[in-house]
Amino acid sequence: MTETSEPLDMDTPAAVVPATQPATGIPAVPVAAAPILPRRSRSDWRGAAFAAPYLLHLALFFGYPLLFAIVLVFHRWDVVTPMQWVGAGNLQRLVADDLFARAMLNTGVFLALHIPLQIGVALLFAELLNGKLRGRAFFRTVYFLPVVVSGVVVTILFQQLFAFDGGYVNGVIAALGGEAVPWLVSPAWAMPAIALVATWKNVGLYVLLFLAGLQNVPPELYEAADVEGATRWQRWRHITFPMLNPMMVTVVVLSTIGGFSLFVEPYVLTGGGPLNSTLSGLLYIYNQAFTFNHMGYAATLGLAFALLIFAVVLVQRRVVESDVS
Amino acid sequence: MLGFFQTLYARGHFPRSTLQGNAFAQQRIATEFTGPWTIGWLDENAPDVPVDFAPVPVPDGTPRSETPPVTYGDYKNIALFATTRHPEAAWAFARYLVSPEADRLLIETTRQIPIRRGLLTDPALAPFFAANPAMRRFAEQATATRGVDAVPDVPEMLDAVAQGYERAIYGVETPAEAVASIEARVGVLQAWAQ
Repeated sequence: MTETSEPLDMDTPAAVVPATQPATGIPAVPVAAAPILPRRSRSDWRGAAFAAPYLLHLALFFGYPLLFAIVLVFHRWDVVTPMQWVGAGNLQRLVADDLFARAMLNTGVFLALHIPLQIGVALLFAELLNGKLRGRAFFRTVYFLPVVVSGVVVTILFQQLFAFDGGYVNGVIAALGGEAVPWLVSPAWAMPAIALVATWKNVGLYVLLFLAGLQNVPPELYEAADVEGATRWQRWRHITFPMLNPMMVTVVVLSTIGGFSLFVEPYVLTGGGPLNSTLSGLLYIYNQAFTFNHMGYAATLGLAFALLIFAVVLVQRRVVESDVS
Repeated sequence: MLGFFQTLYARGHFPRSTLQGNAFAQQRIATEFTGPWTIGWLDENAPDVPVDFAPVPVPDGTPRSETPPVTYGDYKNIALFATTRHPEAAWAFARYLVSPEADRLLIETTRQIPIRRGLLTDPALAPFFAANPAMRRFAEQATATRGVDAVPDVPEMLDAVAQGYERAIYGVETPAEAVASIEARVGVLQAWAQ
């Protein structure tokens, strides 16, 4: 514990207060007492005790798996038989792995479709819900419902909706005179369909975040804009949008990390196909670990993927935050 | 064989579709690849749909000795722990699980095909096959079932084959290119395994 944090300790004497100052006779100002060593160590012990549950959690669920993953990078391990040292073999395979490159490309395509769609839809609904709307509380609940429903359940539902032969969406399209869309069986359509599902599932959370941001915009700014004769678009462009920027950073970063974690939708809907067009990074790692029992290679992929996410989020934060300023 | 299936898909004899079971039950598609589990499902969900089962088709001119084509068995293996406290009892139980009596219970209860020769000539199973004629098709196919090779990376190699097959039926690669892609990925796996 540092010197500056000492006064927070209620047991430490707050001050040593002499009755008067010897030379002037002016009443003395309290002076902070020097910390007493035994008490300081007790305070350290208490701090450590408070931090211990989190540190234990961090060590067990982050530190240990991370160290174990680093060990696995240099081994081949199928869980059942003992590990075999392979040196840089996993790293060499990673560099030349077409499927991993494909999975990264797919993840990029998904992010490019999903993030703008999610932000656009979330902003639209947040604006609607922020206005005077009959049954506003009901709609706020309804938009959040998909977020709390199990991802697998939602995905199975969309499997029925998007089925090529006999799916409900194609049924509606056919009733309107259109041609059936090969949602999940065409390499061109499969990822957009998955982006739609992921957006539908998660948009409620981002609506909530934007709604909180909208409600934090001081009304005086709008009043001033009204006095100046600003149009609705000008109010949105010059007040709402800049004031939402901190929330925008949060939404972009959360959507990106969420987008990199794309797994349930392709796993249940397409299995990564057709033609690997929906093979996400996480799904490929899962396949290597639990379908092929290549734990060492999966750990190598996982670490590379984590570093990539870290780098992308770092760059993204700088870009979005500089836009804010 | 890849070229044969490329043609079948191009002509629309097989569907490129998800949720094939539903589409088949709704009579929107005419064929699907499936197994004995479909018999019970269709009995429950589409009892009026007329169906039959056949081995995977082969090109004209395929020798009779190669029909039905060989498929991999999805075995449910039995393992005994070396450290078991009752090895004799465990061994007796394992022997019972592969006995004719247990095999009869297996097929009657689960409609899984037991690994046993002469299923269709076994008098104990005759009442079952008489009552479930569709299961005879799968019992006939069982004679052409083979084990999966004991190679460490065989699941990923089979995945490479599946992906090559997919590229061929989608027409993004010719059958020869698909075979070359499969060989290339298997080569990468073999190099990595060493």
